[in-house]
Amino acid sequence: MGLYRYRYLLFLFVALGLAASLQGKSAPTDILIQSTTDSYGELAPCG
Amino acid sequence: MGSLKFPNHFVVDAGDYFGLAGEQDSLKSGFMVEAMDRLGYDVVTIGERDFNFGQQYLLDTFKKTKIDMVCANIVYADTKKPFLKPYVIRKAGNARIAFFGLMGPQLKWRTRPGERTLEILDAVETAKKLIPEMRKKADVIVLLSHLGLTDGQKLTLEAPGIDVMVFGHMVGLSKQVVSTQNVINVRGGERGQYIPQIHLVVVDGKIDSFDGDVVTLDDKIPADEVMGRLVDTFSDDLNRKFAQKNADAAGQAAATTQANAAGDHFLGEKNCRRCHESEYQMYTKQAHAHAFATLENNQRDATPECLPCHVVGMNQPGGFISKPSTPELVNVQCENCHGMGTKHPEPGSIAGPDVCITCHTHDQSPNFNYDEAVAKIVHWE
Repeated sequence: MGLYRYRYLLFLFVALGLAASLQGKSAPTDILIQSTTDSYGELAPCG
Repeated sequence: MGSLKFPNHFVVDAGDYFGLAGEQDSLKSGFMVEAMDRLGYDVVTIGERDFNFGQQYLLDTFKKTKIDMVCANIVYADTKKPFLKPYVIRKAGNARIAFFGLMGPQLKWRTRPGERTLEILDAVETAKKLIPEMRKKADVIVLLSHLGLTDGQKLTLEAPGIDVMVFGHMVGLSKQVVSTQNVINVRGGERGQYIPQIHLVVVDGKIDSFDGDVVTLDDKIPADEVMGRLVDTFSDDLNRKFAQKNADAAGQAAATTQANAAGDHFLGEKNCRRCHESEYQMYTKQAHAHAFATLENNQRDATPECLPCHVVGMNQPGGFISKPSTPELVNVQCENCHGMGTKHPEPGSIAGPDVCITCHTHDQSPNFNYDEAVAKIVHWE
């Protein structure tokens, strides 16, 4: 009975959560990947 | 690299960070990985060079770091269990990225006594099997490839589903970030002199757009002060260590060089001077005659990788071993350019550009010009 009284509030929370989740998924995510390869020998010149 | 402010920033490497052999290379390789950790590397794959000091050295060296090592197609021959993690998943905002590694099946390394035998599985088959599994867990799949150029390109054709590929193993340099066969890819040259950077925009679990560039790590990029100090400290310690070893072994080393001098061998400038006094006098005023001092001034006078271009006949018959053992063979002398003294009568002892470039490499002498260089070392009338 108590839960029934708050059904609108519960619905609101669920709806807000779903909206936030959808919004988050479709929001662009920027990613930066920096790379190196064959890095051997790259230390300190002899002079 | 690590200091760059970017919310979802990953630094990766496609393998081959270790030196070839010997104590110096081993120490340097360990320091290299320590430096990569301090620079903020996240995920790396391995190359065949990275086995040069043994499986355990490789595992122990990375165990001290926060770096993830991945390789999907190296397994223990007896159990077929993977030698390393095949892949790792990293979260980037709302997106998840899978990083996996592959080694070229044709690449070989020496299995040391007591080590378990490893086997390299077919890269294409491994990728085909793994990509659907990773796709379930990640929005973006990044391959750190140590397959070389041809096999790497072949893989993109035969194993679709890779989003980003970092080429490794002598793949040359491409100064652009490109998309080939729907795979965004980079080829970063070698020796960490270039940093390709890929910027991805992921929307709804898919790559919406990308751009990128290749940063050249030249003098325009200011050196990181902390890292610079660490490198200097490491190099100074290394030099001191070898200087001490040379001092301890001086007597024994001198005996060795005499024993090696039975056949053709180096003689040193004093012998040349007997007949070539005027040439010798001109030579002593030139840079070659003071080449060892540049190492001493930089505390590199016992560093094995530096010595060959600043002394006579390093570790060759009758040649330089160390300053305490063979002090008469420091500096670039007559025989560096003209060949061993005992071969003197042979024709063709006049040095050409091919001799000069063995030391005046692009890295050491980026502006080297043979004609201009010869003008500075004229020691003949």
